[in-house]
Order: sequence, then C-alpha cells, then structure tokens
Amino acid sequence: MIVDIVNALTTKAETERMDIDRDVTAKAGADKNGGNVDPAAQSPGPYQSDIKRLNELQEAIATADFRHWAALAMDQNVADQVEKVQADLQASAEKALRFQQRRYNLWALQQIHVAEDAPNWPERLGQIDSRFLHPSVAALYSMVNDSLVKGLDDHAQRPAALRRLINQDKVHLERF
Amino acid sequence: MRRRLSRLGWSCFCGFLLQCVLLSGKAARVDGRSILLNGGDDAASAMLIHESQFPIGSVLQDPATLRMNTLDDLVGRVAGKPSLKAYATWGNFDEYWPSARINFEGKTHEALIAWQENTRFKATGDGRRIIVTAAEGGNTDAADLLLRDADGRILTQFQCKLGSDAAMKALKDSKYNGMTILTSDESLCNIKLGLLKTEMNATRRGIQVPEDWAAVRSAIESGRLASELPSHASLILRSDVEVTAKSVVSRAWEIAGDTVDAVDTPVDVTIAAMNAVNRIPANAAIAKAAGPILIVVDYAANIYLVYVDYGRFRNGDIGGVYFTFKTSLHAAQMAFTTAAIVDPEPTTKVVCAVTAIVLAVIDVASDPIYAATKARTEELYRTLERDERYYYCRQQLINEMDNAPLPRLPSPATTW
Repeated sequence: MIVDIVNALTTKAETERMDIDRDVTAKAGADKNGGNVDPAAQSPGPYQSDIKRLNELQEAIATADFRHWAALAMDQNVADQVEKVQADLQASAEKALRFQQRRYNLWALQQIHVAEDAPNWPERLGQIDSRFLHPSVAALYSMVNDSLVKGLDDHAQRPAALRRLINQDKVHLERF
Repeated sequence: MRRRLSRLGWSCFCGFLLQCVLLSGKAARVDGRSILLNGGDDAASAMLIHESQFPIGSVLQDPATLRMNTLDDLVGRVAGKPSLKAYATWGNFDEYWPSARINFEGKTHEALIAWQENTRFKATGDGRRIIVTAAEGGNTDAADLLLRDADGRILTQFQCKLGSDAAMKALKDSKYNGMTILTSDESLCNIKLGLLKTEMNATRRGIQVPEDWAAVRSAIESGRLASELPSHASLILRSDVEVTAKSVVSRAWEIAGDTVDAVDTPVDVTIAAMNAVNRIPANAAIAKAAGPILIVVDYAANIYLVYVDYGRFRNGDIGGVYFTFKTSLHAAQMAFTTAAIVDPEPTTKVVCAVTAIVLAVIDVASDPIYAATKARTEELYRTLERDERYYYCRQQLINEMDNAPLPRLPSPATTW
C-alpha cells in the first residue's frame, strides 16, 4: 500500500519534472538560435517560473518525507526511486538556472553592443548586473565601459556619466 | 687596316690643329677673302691676308643694288627681314625692335646712303653709282659700299660705321686699309669735337697730340674719314637712319605677321604659346635670375615634404605604398619643374610646367583622399573587429554555459 502510494507520487513528480525540463530545453534552444532574450516585464521570468516550480516540487517531496515511508516499506527500489527523483529535480533546477544566466548574458551582450554607439550608454550599461556575467562577457563589458568613459573629452561629463551608470536600476536575474 | 689607321691619325691631327686654333681665341675667317691668323687686338702684329671680292679697278656689271625698285627692297636685301621665327618668338614689333635695331640700323645706313646717292646721281645725270656689297652677295666682304663709274669699274671702297667709336676704331683697323670711312653726321661732329678738345688740351699742356687723334686729324684732312658723301651731299643723320630702319623693318614685320596669321593651323596656337613663354625670360632680367632660385626653392620644398611624409610613415599615419607614391610624385614634380625652367624649347617648357602643376595638384589633393580612404578602412576594420568580438564572445558563452557546471550565484547580501 505504502509502496504503491510512494510510487504514484514519485512518478507524478517525475512527469512534472520532465515537462518542466522539456520547456527549459526548448527555451534554451530558442535562445541559442537567436530568439528573443529580453527580460520579462515583471518578475518572475520564464526560466524563473520553471525554477520556482521545480523548487516547489523539491519542497513537496521533502515535506512528504518519502525516504521515511520507503524505509517503513522495507523496499529498496522505492528508496532508490525517491533518491533518483530528488537528484533529477536538483539537476533540472540547476540546468534551468544555468540557461537563465545564459539568457541574461545574451541580453547583456546585446546591451553592450548597442551601448557602444548609443548616446544613453550609461543607462544601457548601468542596467546590467555584472555579478551575473560570464567572464568573457564581463571582460567585454569592462572594455566597452572604459573606452566610453575615456571617450568623454569634457572632464565635467565624466562624473555625470558615471553617476547615471551607477544609479541606473539593475535588471535582476529573476526577470529571465 | 694600316691605311685606315693612317687616315684616322690624320683626321685626329687635323682636328687637334683646329681645336688649337679655336681654343687659343684666334678667330679664323675662312670665307676665302680674309683670314686673320693672329691676335685681333694688336693691329701691328696682325698679319692680314685680305682678298676683297670687289677690288678697286674691277668691273661690276648689272649689280643687284641698282635693280631694287624701292628702298624697302634694298634694305630687305641688305639687312634681311624679320624671320617667321622672330615673329613667333617676339609676338609684336615693339618688343622685337630693341634687340634687332643695332643690326638693322647698320645695314640700313649702308642701304640708305646707296639709295639717296644713286637717286641724286640719276637726278643730276651722273653715271656713277653706289653699290652695296651685301646686296651683291658680299656679306662678309670688308667693304660695305663701292663707288662705281658708268662703265661699272669700281673706283672706291667704303666702310660704313654708324657710331663715332666704331668709326675711329675702323681708322686703325688694317682690314679697312685703303677704304673711305663713312659715318653719320652726328658721329663726325662728335669725332671732330673730341679732336678739338684733345688738340686744345695738348696745346695747353705743351704736349703732342696722341697718336690716335693725330691719325684722326690726318684721316679727316685726307678725306679717308669722309665729311661728305661722294655726291658732296651731307652725311646722313643718324636719326634719319633710325627712323628709316624702324619704318622699313616694321613694314616687313607686318608682312611676316600676315604670312604667319594666314596659316590657319595649330601653328598659331603654338606660336602664341611660344610667345607667352619666351617673352617673359627674354624681357625680364629678373625672370632669368629667378630660374635657378625657383629650382632651389622647389627642391628644398619637395625635400622637406618628403621628410614630413617620412615622419608620417614612421609614425604609422601613412602606409608604405602611399609614402612611395608621394615620394615618386615629388621626384617627378622636381624633374618636370627643372625641365620647365631649364629647357629652352618653348613647347617642352609649357608641357613640363603644366605637368609639374598637375603633379603638385595631385600631391595636394591626394592627402584628403587618402585620409578619407583610410578613415573608411579603419571604420570597416573597427566594425568587423567589433562584430567579430561579439560573435566570438557569444559563441564562447553558449559553448561554455551549455556544458559548464552551475556558476556561482551571488548571495543576496552582496547585491550591488
């Protein structure tokens, strides 16, 4: 009886995880092929929603304490299945988080590219949160930022541009 | 072979002799009538072999001088006419005349004497005639005029000297021995005035009159320095000679001009261009002096510009190809400028000058063109580099984040 219940619940969780994983993989494929990588108007973004659902599943399994019930049933297979579901959920969450960061970096790359010629470059660069940047993108960000700041001939403009850069609201990872 | 060598040696020897004569400054007249083989300045040491084409006593039949219908014809035959080349070179008579008047006035003097005297002889029924040797093909003859009787026998030889100095010098010149010297009325007055002053000075100082002036006195008294023409008319005024020469040559000039103008070909354009080029250096002494200065300035300017270009090349502002192009341009411009200044040929002058100007314009115009081209190239490279940079960065991002472990996430506490 317990074994059947645990099996049913883990199977349901696995199905749910696989749906989310497919969704994440599809979105990642679109990102790679040049799809729209702009952030959502409000948090949570598409990846963030998936991550949230995966976290909820993980939390539900943890709350149900499947390991405890598997131990009572004295069935090693059930125990292994519970372990697997939990590991898969963790892997899917990590994957979703990685693609979320990738989309953030792709969007940042676009912003840096546009900022090179844009008069409002401080706002464009200022909205990027450099903590989420991949090292290669971060290097590009620093290079462009330096060249644009040095390009200001009038020294009085520099502090103003830097103020605009710093005071700009950051776009957070949750909007992706 | 030996014969050839012998001939070669003989030719060399003759050439050497000829060179010795030429280089020693001794003029050698080889026209068959007079040969001066020693220094011309020292008359006493001069050995003159003079063979006149028209010796006294010889008979001259049907002289060309007497066949001339007008004074213009006679002057034209004696003095020649302005050539087409002179017309092309000078363009108008007023510019041409100052350089040609000395030659024309001397010959016009001879022609005018002959014309006026013959007119008088005809009017008075006198059978004598004055013959101009130049009109008879004796351009190089020592005598300028001949007095001929009705039978054609030459009675007297005359040497015409328009100026007083030339007349006095002719008295001493052994080439004119036995000839009567005819000068202008003004020149004779000047000579007589000079003689009077010299004689008064000598009398006052109690010394003898210098030999030169004594010879002049003797020549005047003997009639060798003629005080009148053979018809006993007064000597011709120099002013008359000048006016006559100018008017006759002027008319000949117009005829030459008509001849050239009648040619409706590009020759007109060429002549005009030649005039434009030639008139400047010929008339303006400063232009002659300006030639070398212009060359030096041009060289200095071009060398400086090459030096500046070299500096730009070393700084990387211009490439090697463009530097080579500019250097070649400067070198060519220098060469053409030099040719334009130095070359005596008017057409070449014009072509070289125009080419040098065109090269200078190309030199000046090439800089902005090169700068614009370079800016476009740099912009292209910059765009390419920029796009390539982003493309590479994107690829690296995708490759690494597809397979990489989860990057470290910032903690909320460290949010900027």
